[in-house]
This record gives sequence, structure tokens and C-alpha cells, in this order.
Amino acid sequence: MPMSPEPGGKGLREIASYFLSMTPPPRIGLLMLGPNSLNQAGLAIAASLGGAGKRVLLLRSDHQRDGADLIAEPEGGVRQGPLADWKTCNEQLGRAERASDLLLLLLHPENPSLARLLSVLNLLILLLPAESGEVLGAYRLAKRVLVGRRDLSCGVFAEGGSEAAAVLERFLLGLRVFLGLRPLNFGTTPLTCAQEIINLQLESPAEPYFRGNS
Amino acid sequence: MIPEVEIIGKRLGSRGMVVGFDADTVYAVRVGTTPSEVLLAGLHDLAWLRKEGSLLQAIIPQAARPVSGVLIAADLFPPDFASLLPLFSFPCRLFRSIALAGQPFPWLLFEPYPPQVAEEKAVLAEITEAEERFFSSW
Repeated sequence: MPMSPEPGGKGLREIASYFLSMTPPPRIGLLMLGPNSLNQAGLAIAASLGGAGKRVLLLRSDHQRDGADLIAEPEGGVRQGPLADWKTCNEQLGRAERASDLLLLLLHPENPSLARLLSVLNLLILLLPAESGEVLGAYRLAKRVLVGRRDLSCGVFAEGGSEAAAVLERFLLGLRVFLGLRPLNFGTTPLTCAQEIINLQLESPAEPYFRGNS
Repeated sequence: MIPEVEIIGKRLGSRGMVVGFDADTVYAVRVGTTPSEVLLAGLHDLAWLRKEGSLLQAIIPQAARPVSGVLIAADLFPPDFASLLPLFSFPCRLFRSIALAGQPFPWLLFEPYPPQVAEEKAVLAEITEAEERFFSSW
């Protein structure tokens, strides 16, 4: 294997890629059922998973490419990449996936590819608004998404205090009663959500999300 | 593969390409255009297809009919792009290119854009009075 002496050079990357897992990481969708500010909840969950030792790659449709790099790797932050490039035969994306324990897909109900994206998920977590006044709107969105996918493993998360906890309970009950689902409770803090995700020990999908060249 | 459209990709004269046809429409694009330019080309150059009527009939006699339209396949469309469709006086169909899991990469498929929502599914997704009461009065 050819090696380059400079740190972070091609040789080092090749060595690193040699040890990358060939098993695709489980994929979890974080569906924002409310304002765009809910993406902060998604980021916080990803960060908590990272804090628990999981290598997370967060894919989002609004990801801004940073120069030549498709993957943003902020220091101490969560690696983030584009959601829309999933079909590109990109070596960097494929390598980033193989170097991850979990793929988180930050999703919006209006995403035109949502139906297709749902079909590649191991688990869907509904990110709920923490205000009771927004619950009906969130349920309306959730029903539209889930009405044809009752087979999908799903759970709910609402970040906040007592009002968020009340929203969560209401939603859990509503999904059970009206849609016949058995949603999981991912709690009201990113930390509890991350721990619940880890406890699930999700199985690896058969196919990778990105089909890299290497 | 584009649902309901038989792709033929035949060159039409020196200016255009008949992409394919479905039950009602012959779809064509001007040669040398990128997907994002196709719509504009269609707006300006639809006349060329009409002028080539006899040639079109020779190429695909089973599909030659007075209507013609534009077919656009692209990875991404600008926001609200689909809302322009009713403004055109000719049929225009949009497709997003996709690839399905388990298929080798170059085997591209297309899905209609904007996504078609089945009527039955839309009805199922409507909120009932009981649901509205449950989620709004507590």
C-alpha cells in the first residue's frame, strides 16, 4: 500500500479506509414535524450520540457544501453531509458512511423524496414541537407521512420541560389510538433519546446508503 | 425507465430528439440542451416539432399525432417549478431521476415530479373530527 509521509495525506487516508467497516450503519430518520428550528433538536441528538461514543454522520437536505469537501467536520461537532447526493457514486460519501456507526437523516415532511427515503430507514423518530398549540399541525403532518407506512418502526421525541412531556404523551396515545401504531418513547432530552437509540441495537441494513467507488 | 413513457430517443431532423411517447403525447427535446435548458428550449422551439410532422410520422407512425409535448428529467428542479406547468399550452411532464436500493448505480429510474399523491391515500390522511378534538382540546 503506497503511503505518503505528510499527516492526513493520501497514504494515511488509504490506511484509514483499509480499516473501515464493510457493514453499512443503521439509518435513522429524524422527521421534523414543526418549525425548521427543530433541526436543532436533530443536531443535539446527533451530538449526544457522538458524546456516547457513536460515530454519527448526519445527512440533511439543506447541507451546504464547504468548498471541495462534501462532508463538513466541525471540530468537536457532528459530521454532516448532503441528503440529496445519495445516488451519486461518490468515494468520499461512501467512505464517510463506512466510518460511521449510525446514519441520521434529517427529514422534512415536504421532502419530495420522503416516500423513497422512508423505505431505506431502520427507524423513524418524529421530532415534535414542544408547544401544545402546535400538536394538531404536527399530527396532521405525521398522519400524512405514516398513513401508508404503518409497518415502519417509529418513535417520538419532544425536547423541553413539562409541556414537551405532555405533548409527547398526547402524541404517543394519539398514534396508538388513531393510527394503530406502537410508537417508542424517545423522551424529552437529547441524552435520553440517544441512550434509547443505543439500547435498541439496530441491525445493519443489507445495502449501504451511498455507493462509493472504494 | 419513465413510467408510461416508451423511450425511443430517435433523432428528429437536425434539431431535435424525440425522447419518447405515452398514450397521449409525443415528447421531444432539442438536441444540445441540458436538462435545465430543456424547458426553455421547449417554449421557444416547440414549433420545430410541429414542422417536422411528416418526419415524426415516419419515425414512429404508431405514436404520431397532432399533440406534442416536452419531457424534462433532472436531478433537481427549482422551487415552484412545477407550478409553471399549467401556463404552457402544450403537455409537459417532469421527472426526477432516482436510483433504487439494490440496483447497480448506472441503472437510473425516474419518478414523477411533483410526487403523485394517490387520492385514496389523501383521503386516508385527512384528519377526522375525533382526531381534531383529541389534539386540539387539552
